Amino acid sequence: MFFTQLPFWGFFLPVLGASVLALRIFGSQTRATILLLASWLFYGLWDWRFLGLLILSTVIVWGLAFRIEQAQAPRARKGWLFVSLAFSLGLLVLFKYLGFFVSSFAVLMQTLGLPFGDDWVLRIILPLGISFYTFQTVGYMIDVYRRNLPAERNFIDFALFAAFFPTLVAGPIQRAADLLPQIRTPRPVVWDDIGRGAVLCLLGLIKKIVIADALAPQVAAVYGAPDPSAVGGADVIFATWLYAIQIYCDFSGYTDIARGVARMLGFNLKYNFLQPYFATSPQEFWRRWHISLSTWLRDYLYISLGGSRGGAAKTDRNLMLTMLLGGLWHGAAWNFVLWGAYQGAVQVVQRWTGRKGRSPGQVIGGGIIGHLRHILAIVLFFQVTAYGWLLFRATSFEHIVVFTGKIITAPLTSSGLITTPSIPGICGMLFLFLWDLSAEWSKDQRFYMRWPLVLRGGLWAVMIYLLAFGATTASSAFIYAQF
Amino acid sequence: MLRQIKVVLATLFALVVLDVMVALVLTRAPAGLSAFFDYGRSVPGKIAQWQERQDRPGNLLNVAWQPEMLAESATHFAGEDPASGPIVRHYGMSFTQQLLQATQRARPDLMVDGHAGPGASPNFVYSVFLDDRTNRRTGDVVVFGILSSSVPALGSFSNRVWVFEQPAPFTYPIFRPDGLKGLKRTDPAITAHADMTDPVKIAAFDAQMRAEDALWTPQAFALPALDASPFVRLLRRATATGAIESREANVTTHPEDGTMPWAEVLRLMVRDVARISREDNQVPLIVLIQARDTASPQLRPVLVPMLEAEGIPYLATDEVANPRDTTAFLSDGHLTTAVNDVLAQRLLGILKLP
Repeated sequence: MFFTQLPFWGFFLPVLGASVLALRIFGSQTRATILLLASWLFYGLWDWRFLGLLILSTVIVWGLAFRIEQAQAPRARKGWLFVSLAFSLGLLVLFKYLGFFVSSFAVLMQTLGLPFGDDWVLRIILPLGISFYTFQTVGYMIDVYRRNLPAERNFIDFALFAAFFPTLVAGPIQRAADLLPQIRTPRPVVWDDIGRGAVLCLLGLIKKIVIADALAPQVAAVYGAPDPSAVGGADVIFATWLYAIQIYCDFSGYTDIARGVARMLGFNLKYNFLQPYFATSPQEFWRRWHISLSTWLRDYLYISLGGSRGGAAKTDRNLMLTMLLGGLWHGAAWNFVLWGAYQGAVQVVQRWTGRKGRSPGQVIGGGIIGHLRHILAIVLFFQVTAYGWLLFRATSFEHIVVFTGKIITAPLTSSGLITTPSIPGICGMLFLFLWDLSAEWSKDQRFYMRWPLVLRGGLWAVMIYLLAFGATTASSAFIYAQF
Repeated sequence: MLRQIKVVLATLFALVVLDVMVALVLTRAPAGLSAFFDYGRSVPGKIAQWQERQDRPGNLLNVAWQPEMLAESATHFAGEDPASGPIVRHYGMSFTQQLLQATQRARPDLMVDGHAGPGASPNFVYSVFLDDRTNRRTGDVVVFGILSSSVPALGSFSNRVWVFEQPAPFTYPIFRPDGLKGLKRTDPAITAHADMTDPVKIAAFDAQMRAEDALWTPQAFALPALDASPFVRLLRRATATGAIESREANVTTHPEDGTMPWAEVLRLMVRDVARISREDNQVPLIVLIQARDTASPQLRPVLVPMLEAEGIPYLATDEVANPRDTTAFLSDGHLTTAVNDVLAQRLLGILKLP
């Protein structure tokens, strides 16, 4: 049941109605119970087998948080934190990484000529959204350990925080300090929430259906070519650019819909993307891309490793480790590890050059020359980001080597694999560019609110028309739902 | 709340204005763009347009009706010289036509007689093969094409039901397994182009499609009066194609059971084609065409083991054109000339014609 499918809206609208009525008639606890049951139902409809795992994990984490809170001695607190992390991350490793480690070990044994079993391949099904809800609850436990947050007494409130259905499958990763207060003391849903939520959903659907799904076949034609060595360098470059747009629209589209749905239910979720391809440096990129993950990694991993304390070498090491683990978080495959290493390396290189990343919206220089330098920096840094996406999208190490070689040795050669995207896809990309440019230029994600009502009505009409224009493309699963 | 109502009203007003503007622009737009918007017209709307203007580009009103096709075949057969040698008679669609054209390029003296329908489903191809039996001679080669993307239409009576964007109205029977008797044939209420003007038959066929067609999708046929709105056409295209794909997927995922056990039906058809051809001293050749669409049924695992076990000659296009290799296909989904040339050589190698 994807956000892009009618059954989801058939599920959501009654939940919205029940949630609004429950809050008005019975109060916050009934609303939380309804939303929790809806969230568990939503998860169970994906795969009921793992609903038990989600509930079990929620119960255990909820209980362990009390232990962490109640332990007075630092060693005992640390011990309970260790137990709770071992449990949560252990589940993640078991379901997401064990098969990968075992098969990698088998490959290593084979390479070294040592004996290994033919059946050393584990086929473990990945529970949906496990990376997202694990990071969410791990963040909560660390917050309790750090005494930034009291352990949540109310199980229903905590379980809803862990399983809130708009964010359950692919984030954004929520902080307990942000979401739990909104669960405990909800504000009544007003028409403005419905309107703002609907706009976010509309934007997200355009990104996903009109753009990402339209570009998917073009990208797959190159990255799924049966013989990668026959692919031209120009095909690889163009397909990688398209993939950069596809993954941005796919993931930020999901986030927009998640934020929109949550908004209609009366929740404010933070921005997860701020026009990432307007970044001019790696540091700035990570302030704009998947912000909930990058800030999570910063607060719970990078800082725990020592952050920038302890000198340049240790800072570089911490950055590399953080990004490596961030890469591995995406999936149990070496290309994700390589992507993480690449992201770490470009940040380390940036540090070595002594350049500091801009904040989103900050212009490089004044005047025409300054703006031209800014645009050039954006275009050049996009190439750095896009190469990272090549590592991310590739299906094997050999694939990466062959495609990288093609980009270097034959950048202008095409084997005719790339075709022009569909008319709606092109219109969608143009629309999104103008949208992101307006948000960037005005330094306001809701730039349209300054427009007169008639113009705003026109904008929504254009968006609805655009969605209908591109909705002929069959919608596919969200990329980040597999993580 | 008043502000929200104003926003909703402004949006609806703008949507209507935009729709009228798009409709006006489309009257002067390039043909490609107009066609893009026209794809979303309702099926009755498209058929009515074709009936109004027979010379309209892409008019499929009068193609592949079986009585006309068989009458033409009989005339052609009567005019043939019986001593001219074996003729390759193919039953299929544009894919088999293009393959045979490539074969003729490689071997210009080859005589070919074709029977094809647009995107023809195996039930169309099989029924033409059966009904054209008297128009074949001893020694002829029978090429029987199966297109993977059309396999879900085994449960359908007409392209108008499942090819939403180009709903050619020609009809064909549905064949279902019937125990030890083989396949049971259910003929459509409309069989000839002339029936399209008979209100009784039209009503009967309408009821038959609703009741028996596995791919019947109401939204493709509903509310033709709203076809004037480009916005409605876009919405209809999205919902109708999505619903049809979902029904096709429902068939595809149940090869041996469900509403249309397509694997069993295909095996029975192919076995019957081989049997009849051999009884008539003809050479059967089954062509398995795996389309670019990787979601369509996989023909090889379903049919090749049986074809090999029973010694029925076959040619599978996936040997040359991997469905994931976009360079093997044209933008419209057909195989490239280069691929057809290679397949033609293989076909000649299988036939070993003198």
